[in-house]
Amino acid sequence: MTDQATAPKEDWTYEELRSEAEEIRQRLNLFRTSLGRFFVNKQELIDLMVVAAVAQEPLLLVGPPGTAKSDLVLKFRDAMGVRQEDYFEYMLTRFSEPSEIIGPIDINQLRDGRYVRREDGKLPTARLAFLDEIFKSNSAILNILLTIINERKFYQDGKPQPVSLRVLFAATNEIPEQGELGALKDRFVLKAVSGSVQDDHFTQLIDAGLNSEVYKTLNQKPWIENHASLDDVLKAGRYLTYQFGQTTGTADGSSDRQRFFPDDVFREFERLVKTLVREDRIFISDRKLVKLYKLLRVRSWLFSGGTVTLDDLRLLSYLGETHQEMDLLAEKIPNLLGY
Amino acid sequence: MLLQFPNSETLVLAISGGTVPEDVCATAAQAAVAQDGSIWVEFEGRLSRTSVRQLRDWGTTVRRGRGKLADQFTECVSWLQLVPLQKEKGLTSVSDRGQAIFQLHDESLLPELVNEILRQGNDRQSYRKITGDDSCVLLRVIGVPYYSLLRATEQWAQGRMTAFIERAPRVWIEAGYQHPLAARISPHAGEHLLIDKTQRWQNLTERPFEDIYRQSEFLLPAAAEPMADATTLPTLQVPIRLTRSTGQEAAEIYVLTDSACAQMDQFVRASSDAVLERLAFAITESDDQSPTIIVRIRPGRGTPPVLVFDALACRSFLKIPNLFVPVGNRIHPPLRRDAVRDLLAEDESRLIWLAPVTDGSSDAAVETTRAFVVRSVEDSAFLPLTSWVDYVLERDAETLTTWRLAHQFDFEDFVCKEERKQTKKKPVARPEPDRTPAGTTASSGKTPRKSAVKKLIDRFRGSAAQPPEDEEIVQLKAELSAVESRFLAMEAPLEDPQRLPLWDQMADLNAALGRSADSSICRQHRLWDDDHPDDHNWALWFETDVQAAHRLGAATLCSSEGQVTARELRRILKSTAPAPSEVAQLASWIAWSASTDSDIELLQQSLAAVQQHLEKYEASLAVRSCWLAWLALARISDDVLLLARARDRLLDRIYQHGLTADRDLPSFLRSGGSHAGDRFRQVREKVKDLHATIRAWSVANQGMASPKTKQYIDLIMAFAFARLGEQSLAAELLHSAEQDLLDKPDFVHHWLYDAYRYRIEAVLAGRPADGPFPESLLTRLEQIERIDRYKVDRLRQHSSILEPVEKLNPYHKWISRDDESLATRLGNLFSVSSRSELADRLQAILGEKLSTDDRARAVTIGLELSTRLGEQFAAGLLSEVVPLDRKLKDPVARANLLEKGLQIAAHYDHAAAVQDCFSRMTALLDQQTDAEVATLQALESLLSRSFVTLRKMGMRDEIAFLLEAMTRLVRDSRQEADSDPERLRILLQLAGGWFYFSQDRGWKDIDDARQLLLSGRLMEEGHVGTKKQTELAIAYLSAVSQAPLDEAVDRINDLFCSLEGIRDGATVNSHYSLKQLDIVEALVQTIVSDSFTMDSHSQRWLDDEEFLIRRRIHRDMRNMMD
Repeated sequence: MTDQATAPKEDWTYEELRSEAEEIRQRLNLFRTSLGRFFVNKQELIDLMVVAAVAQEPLLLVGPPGTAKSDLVLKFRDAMGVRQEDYFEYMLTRFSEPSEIIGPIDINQLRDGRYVRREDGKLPTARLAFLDEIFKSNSAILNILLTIINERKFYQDGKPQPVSLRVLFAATNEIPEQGELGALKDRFVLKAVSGSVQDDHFTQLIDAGLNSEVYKTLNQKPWIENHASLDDVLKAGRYLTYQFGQTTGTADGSSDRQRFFPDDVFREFERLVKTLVREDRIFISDRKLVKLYKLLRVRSWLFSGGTVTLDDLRLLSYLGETHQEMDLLAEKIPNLLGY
Repeated sequence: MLLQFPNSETLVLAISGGTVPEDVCATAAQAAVAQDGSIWVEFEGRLSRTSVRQLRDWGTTVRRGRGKLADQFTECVSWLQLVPLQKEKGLTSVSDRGQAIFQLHDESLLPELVNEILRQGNDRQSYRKITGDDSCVLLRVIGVPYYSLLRATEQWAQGRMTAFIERAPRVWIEAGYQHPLAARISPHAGEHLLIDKTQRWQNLTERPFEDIYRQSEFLLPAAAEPMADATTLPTLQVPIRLTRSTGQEAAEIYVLTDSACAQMDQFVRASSDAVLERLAFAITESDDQSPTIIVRIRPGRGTPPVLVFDALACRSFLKIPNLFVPVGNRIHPPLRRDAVRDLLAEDESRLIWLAPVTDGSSDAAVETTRAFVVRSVEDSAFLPLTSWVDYVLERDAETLTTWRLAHQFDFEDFVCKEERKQTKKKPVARPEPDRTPAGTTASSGKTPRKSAVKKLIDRFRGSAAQPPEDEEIVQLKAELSAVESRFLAMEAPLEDPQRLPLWDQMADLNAALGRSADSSICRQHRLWDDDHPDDHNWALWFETDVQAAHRLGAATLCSSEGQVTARELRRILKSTAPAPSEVAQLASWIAWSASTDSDIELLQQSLAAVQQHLEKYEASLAVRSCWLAWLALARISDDVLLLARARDRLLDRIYQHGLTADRDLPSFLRSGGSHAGDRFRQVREKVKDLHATIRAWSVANQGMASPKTKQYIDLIMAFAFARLGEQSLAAELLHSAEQDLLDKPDFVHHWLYDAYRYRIEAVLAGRPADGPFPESLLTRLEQIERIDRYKVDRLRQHSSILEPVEKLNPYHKWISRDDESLATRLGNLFSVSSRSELADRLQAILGEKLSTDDRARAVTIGLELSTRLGEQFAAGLLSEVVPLDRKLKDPVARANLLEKGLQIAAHYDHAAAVQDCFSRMTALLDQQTDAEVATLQALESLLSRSFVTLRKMGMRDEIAFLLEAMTRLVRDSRQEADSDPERLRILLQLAGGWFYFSQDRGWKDIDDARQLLLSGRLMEEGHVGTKKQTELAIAYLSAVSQAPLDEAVDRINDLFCSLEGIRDGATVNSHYSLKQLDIVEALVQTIVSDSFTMDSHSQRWLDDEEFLIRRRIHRDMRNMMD
């Protein structure tokens, strides 16, 4: 069970956060640009990881083996200084059991008739988690994951218990077509492709890859530069959450959208969504649409301090549910936006 | 009239339902919309009462005055204008060909909109500027992107931009809306109508739109920078080297540098001249003045020989004939062929090769490219290698003197004793350890022969004996030849006991010479013709077969101790594919064992297995061997039925196929002795000469027929040569026919060629050439269209090479498959393979109520098939022959029935039935005075068949009688002239028959026929005459082929040199001349028959053989039954 006494602080007030919001923003920007130096052509993915982390929305990395998906998350974790007890990673297989994810049953408590799991060091206690091959989950794991991702809780002895999970990254080689995994798939608003870079960045890949091998062998981690921490991410997310809900205290009582989403950009947003839904048959649920708004705001705050621009609408490129959709959106969205 | 519609739906209903007539709807009206949503319409005219009543039912009110809405009425061009647009649920996208018009009141929006649509890949845009009060820009887009269409529906665009989509011809409705009656709206001619959601109707005169490209200036990101051509270009130096290639091409030249002459010498000594003939060579001098020999493989048939030299092996490169690179190498970098040729092999008179050199710049073992030096030699320097080779004898030739039969063999007088040993149960001595049973002991009671030859014979008996020396072989052969000559010269009948010792001698001599097959056949003859053979003979027969099996490497019944054991017997019986020699020794063992009581217990213990094995594989046995074995088995088991079944099978075999020469006759009888052997060789030589004559004749008589007829003639001649043992000639003709017949795709030629080839190859391989075609050929045939199929079947119908057994109806494709006529059902019986099914079906037909003629037909066919169904079945049918013959009127039907009855009666040795049929046949002939020639023809052909039967029954006198009767009948028949072709044909057939008896009574008829054929008179009768000419020619050839050989060949040659008028007008002409092929095939079938290749003496001898076999079989059967 989570030790509430040692749980890190996350209940910052708006006033506390407002004073350091800009500083946090700059640190996070520095973090993401610094981390991008250790990868070849993965800056966009790193930016997306930061955005998703701040928005506390799960991000799915899709790509063939050997395209730095796991490496991105590991370095992200290292660079962010995430403590071991705050981190959980696991490669799922068809045979993975729930106990491997959420901990084994506590035998002693079971003798007392209580169905309680020992979740220390497992997903419920982690604030940052990485689930590799997430779609290889079997139905037992699936239910647990859905509850954790969606409701941020899991059941101990029949009682719901909040989980510490704040940032979830997942990776997969293939996006499944099966219906039962559709719910899990839908939890990921953003799905980004981590592709091979050797065609266009052959030399850089060799150089960077060699360096990476050297670091691994010599156990060096130069990407740990302490530019930002997980707390910074969480603070940024909480700060923006406060902003989303603010309507009072403003001069005109305007909503977040009215303040930070210019009409023309919003119209473009609406138009893009309708076009994707109608013309390209991209499925965007209402829930996803709202989350998309959040992500747009996060991105705009992170990159430009607040107002959403047309450039932020590039996030719609990551709405694809299948490889074909991903490829289509990667080309179409910039085209529609005029880039 | 003023109507108040409660709502727009009622108005729509009234208009769409026709309650308000169309002409009313199309007229202008005044209308207003009240606050409650009701629509007031005032129009000129009135509606019918029905309409009014209907409208009232729907809640419409007829008003008398406008009331409070008086000033709200506005003009509308038609009632349809009153129908409000309905908002769509979601904006409908436009198809790729659909059109949309953007009406831009704010012209500043145009560039952004155009760019946005262009950005999405759509340049099918055109515009038009409208001036006036409602000035605007119209942008028409074909296949407008949805994204851009959405732009016009946004709030900000209201009043600034409206998008219209064409919903009906020339009717454009605002995007996002629908007009429920858009299809009814008919704008004026030359106008388009734009309807927005405010129900404002705008008329747009039809005028062309300007392409947006004309109004667009596409800005290049940077100014163009023209590039000037360079006047000079430095030469690029590209080194050419050799590099490894993955090809596995064969070498074509070899360059010998090290010890070239020595290598060549060694090579030539060890190579055949066939290889040397493929090679050419040239010699050059290298720098160190040692000779370099270049060996070149000349193009030729077959794969080039692989030569093993310590030399540089090179192959041609890029198909440049005079350029060679080392095998496994290629030029690097790869260049175009013309570039390589110009660079390296420009001089075509020289042969050039690239010799690799090491340039010392890198480790040669790992270098991937190598330098080379170009070497060449004049092409004219090459000479055939054989011109350089002299074959010398190491020793002088020794002149050999001809060995002459100068030795005198001091034989003792041979006394043939008429000994008849009665005892059958004397045990025979066990076989010797050298696996050869010893049968010749003093216990046999025979006086041993003590001649020199006998000593030779005794020396070489037994499988362990050393083969005779050359001189001894000569002696033995000479003796054998002498005995054979005495045998042939003997006047006594074949079964005369005087011949028995000769059989013994021939058997012994053949055995000594290692000719086990002939020896065994002689032993069988000896036992066959001897009513009481002694044990010694049985043993000798078994001994011979064991030796034969041993020599051929097959399993033997005798163990290493020389005894027949159960183990060896089991081994033989278990074999599922026994060699003929194994089956033969089993048969001889059975006969020996049963006759001498040797190993009788072993035989009785294994009786069932032995019977089963023998029945399964008896087809490989000689007829005599087979019968003697079955006779022995029947006696042991006392089973008459067993013997009867064996008899039926054997007789059927003889009936269907006759005697098998190589199994049933010794060599000297197959070739009819030395004289007939000479005749056979002469026949072969003369047929070769005949081929050229026939070909020339075919060309001269080609007419309208296909020139490919020559190739079919070649195929027929190939068959002839194959039958005559000229294998290479047959193969050569097969090959040349293939080249000429199959030069183009043509199903008929291809199929027929394959069919002929199948038959010819069967003969060449020694297989029977009379079975059905392979499945693959028949399947191909089923898949072609009718006409082609007809052409193929036509030739099959005529050709007895292609279809020696089955006779086809080429029109069968046109005949209904449901034909259940008696003729069809009887015909189908021949294809039934199951004995029981055949019996059932035949019984069913015979059980029907049939007319006399039909019953006669059924009985005739039944008799034909009775050899498969057994004697009892045949006997039942035979009993019907005479009663039916009494009732029949048609002489041809009678002759058919009697001929078949005679044949089957003789087959089953029903003497009484034979006599009945014969006497009725002669009576039939007597009754045919004044018969029509068609009747005579039919009779004659039937009689010809019965001649063959009677010959084999030994009924020569009866044949002569029938011949005489027929000849008289034909000559006395009412005919207009002796030279009538139909009549002549019959006489020609009879002439052939007379030749069999060595009588030349038919020569006059032959000369008459020749005269008629060469006169050309028949050709004046057109198509009918051509048919007669052909048939007469066939009959002529058949007749003269029965004559003495030289005369026959002269006549045949003469005919082909002079015969004309064989023209075809048939459908098959496109592929072959059927008549020509008929003639040639008739000739070929004649010349390959025994009657042509053998002299009459030998022919008769064969007939007697068959007769004696039948007689013995029937006699043994009767004895068994008694």
